[in-house]
Amino acid sequence: MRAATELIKIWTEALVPVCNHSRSHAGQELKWLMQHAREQARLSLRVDHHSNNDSSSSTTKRSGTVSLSEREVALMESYIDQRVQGRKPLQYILGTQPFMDLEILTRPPTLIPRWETEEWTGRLATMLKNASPGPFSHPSTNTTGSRTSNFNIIDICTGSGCIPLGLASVLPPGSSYLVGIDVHPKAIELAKENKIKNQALLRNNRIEFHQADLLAPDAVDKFQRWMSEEKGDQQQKQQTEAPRSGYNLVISNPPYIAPAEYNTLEPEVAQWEDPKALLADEDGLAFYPRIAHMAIELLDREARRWRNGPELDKVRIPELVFEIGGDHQVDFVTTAAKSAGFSRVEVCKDLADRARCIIGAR
Amino acid sequence: MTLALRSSAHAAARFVRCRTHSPALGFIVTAALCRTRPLHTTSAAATLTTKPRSAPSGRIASLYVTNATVIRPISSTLSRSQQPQHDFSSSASSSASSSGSLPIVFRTPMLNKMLPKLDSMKELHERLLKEINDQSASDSSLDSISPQKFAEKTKQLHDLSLITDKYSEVQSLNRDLQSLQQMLDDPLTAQDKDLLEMTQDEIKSTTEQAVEMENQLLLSMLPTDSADEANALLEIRAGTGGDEAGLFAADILRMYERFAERQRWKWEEISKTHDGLGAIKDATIAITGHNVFGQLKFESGVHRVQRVPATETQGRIHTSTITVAIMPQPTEVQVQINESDVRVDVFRASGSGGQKVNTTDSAIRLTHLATGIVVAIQDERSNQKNRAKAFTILRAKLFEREREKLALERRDSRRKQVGSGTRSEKIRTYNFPQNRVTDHRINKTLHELESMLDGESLPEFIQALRVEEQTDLLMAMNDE
Repeated sequence: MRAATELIKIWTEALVPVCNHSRSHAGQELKWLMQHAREQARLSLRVDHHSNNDSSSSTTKRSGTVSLSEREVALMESYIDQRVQGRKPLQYILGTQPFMDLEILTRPPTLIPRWETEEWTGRLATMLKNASPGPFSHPSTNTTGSRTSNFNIIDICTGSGCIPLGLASVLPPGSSYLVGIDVHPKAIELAKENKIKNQALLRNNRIEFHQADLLAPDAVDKFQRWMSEEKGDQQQKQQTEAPRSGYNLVISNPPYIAPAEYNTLEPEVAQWEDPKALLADEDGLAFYPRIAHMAIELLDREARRWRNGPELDKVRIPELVFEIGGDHQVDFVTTAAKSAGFSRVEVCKDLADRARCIIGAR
Repeated sequence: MTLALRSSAHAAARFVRCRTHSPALGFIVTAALCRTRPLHTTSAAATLTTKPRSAPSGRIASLYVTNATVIRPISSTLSRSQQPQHDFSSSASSSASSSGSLPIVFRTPMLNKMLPKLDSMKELHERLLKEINDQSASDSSLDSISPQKFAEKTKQLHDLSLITDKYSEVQSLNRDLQSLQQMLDDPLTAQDKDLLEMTQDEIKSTTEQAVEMENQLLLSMLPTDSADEANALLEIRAGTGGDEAGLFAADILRMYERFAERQRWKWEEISKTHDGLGAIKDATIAITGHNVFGQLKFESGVHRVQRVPATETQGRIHTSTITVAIMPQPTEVQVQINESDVRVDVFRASGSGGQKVNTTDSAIRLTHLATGIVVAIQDERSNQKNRAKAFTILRAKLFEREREKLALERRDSRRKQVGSGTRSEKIRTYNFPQNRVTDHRINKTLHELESMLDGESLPEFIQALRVEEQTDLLMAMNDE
């Protein structure tokens, strides 16, 4: 018992430098790591078919005495070493990151969902939900379940898949079809696992993940095909539905860090996460014009109702959502969106009061 | 007058019964209940034992002697003010001989005061019942009443019938007693020993029933706190006493968790600040289930521990304190927070954030601008989750603030009630060397510390505190 209290003090101290030098935050990371160690120790016990649970797993007795099993101590020693010496992100050690109500699997080198992304995805989801039953469907016919989706959404550079999965968990049940695209096969693999892991929370919304390079010449055709195949499926079910030409929302959180900034990144990011998910040429702006132009082609040409409304100069429901790297990218990305054909473009700030999203509508 | 006094003493006995450890307070309650006629307090006690013996009506007198604390004069044509003061037995027998439909006189004096109220409730009940019946009969007239209105009326009817049903029951028991009394007074009955005994037994049991029903009636009329059924937030903070206070906070937290388990309540930790070594600085728990607030509301206040801390080398007893706060959890409808009234602070990395930074600092701090209430949460790994939790707490704090304001207004005209004390009130001591727990509000002590800390004995305190609260409410009703 004495040993446990000593160890906890040592570990907390060790974590302080990787926790913005905040002792209270180090205490939080320690708590999460210990919870994880406890779970893993219990899990391995089950696998090993050991029966003597009490002696091997830690317990908290009255008056708060803490004891740690040998297995837990060994796991903790390894975690602290990875975290402090290896500068491995906490989320890669724990293997998950909460995202809205979901638990997203995290595995190197796929980008770990950032809190800023979680925040705006949540806001977007609420916005779309409140707009539902949406522009294409009447509430009374939507209950049959056979009607086509209210929301056809594509997320380009989806990474772990957190954005489409997060949206699906909020949008009305069965209302949406979401496609996630990433160039990295490992990202698509992880996104598919995340879909399976969170299946129960996705409210019967259809989600597909495809590996594709958005810079390839046939990218737009491919993306459109995934939509029309989906549409074809549904038309067989529901003949009366008018044919539609595409998506009604294009989302992207593309790499936006300038290569020149790469060596200023903290080790948790630079050493562990895929540079391809972080860096973009032209000061981090290379992808925006390309995606903006693709978006215009991917969006449903008929979907005028998205744009109707009394405030014509305002984005009521976005057709394009970009995450951006900060205030310094606002002007360029706004121009890119406008020149691609989005007549109304707005900037959204995050909780830290930084420009985080550019949203647009035609 | 004697009748009233006996009833007072009886009522006090009922409500004080659970407070055997509290003779002083018990006395106060009794005195308070009787204080409209304080001069007769002693004579009432005397009446209980001596009067029946000297009563001219010997048959009834024997009843009174054997059941002095339960039985009181069973009927009277006279209202309390007209009551002869010298001999209730003779008045009872004389009144019983005059027959016909008699106005009701309760054994519980407080109810007599409420007779007009009860009658108007009954009237309203009948009117509502008729309206609803008419409505159902002519349900084709769609425009006459909205479904909401109908539902409201049905609810009102239901609430009323909880009281009026008992009132009717008391009335019917009284009628039974009147006819029984007539039977008893009949000379023919006196000649038949078996019949006499049967009648006496019947009077005895019917009287007991009537008293019980009156008490139920009285309790059903007590004002209820609409928050009783609500879910609650439990907040525990270590106070004076350093680490020892933190360890005790962990013990108390565990006590409530065990209790919640026994109640089959859902226990959700919202935030907990601890040192990793078992001591807790503060903790906030959301408890969901049936009547959570109603049961836990008496727990708010300062809890004190006296024991030898594990770290104490010289065996000295330390005294430490923790603060417990129980707040009802309002629904989102009850408390609506405008997001523009709240400043939200998050961890702000240097640079421009986003992909460049992977922070695990998900702390959220909310500041409610109008009230200055600050809620900070850092337990969850997602700041959106922390944010949601912080809003839950903020909502409860704003709700509590409103309730306190209302309670203060009310308390100006009413005596202080248990459970409405301030957070700084010392309510309970857990003394380890003496293996006891004492609740200072009701002077109740249990010598079973272990089962208390296991959440098992907590209901005993809750029950006693609820009785105390009901007594307080009754006293307040009596004052009004």
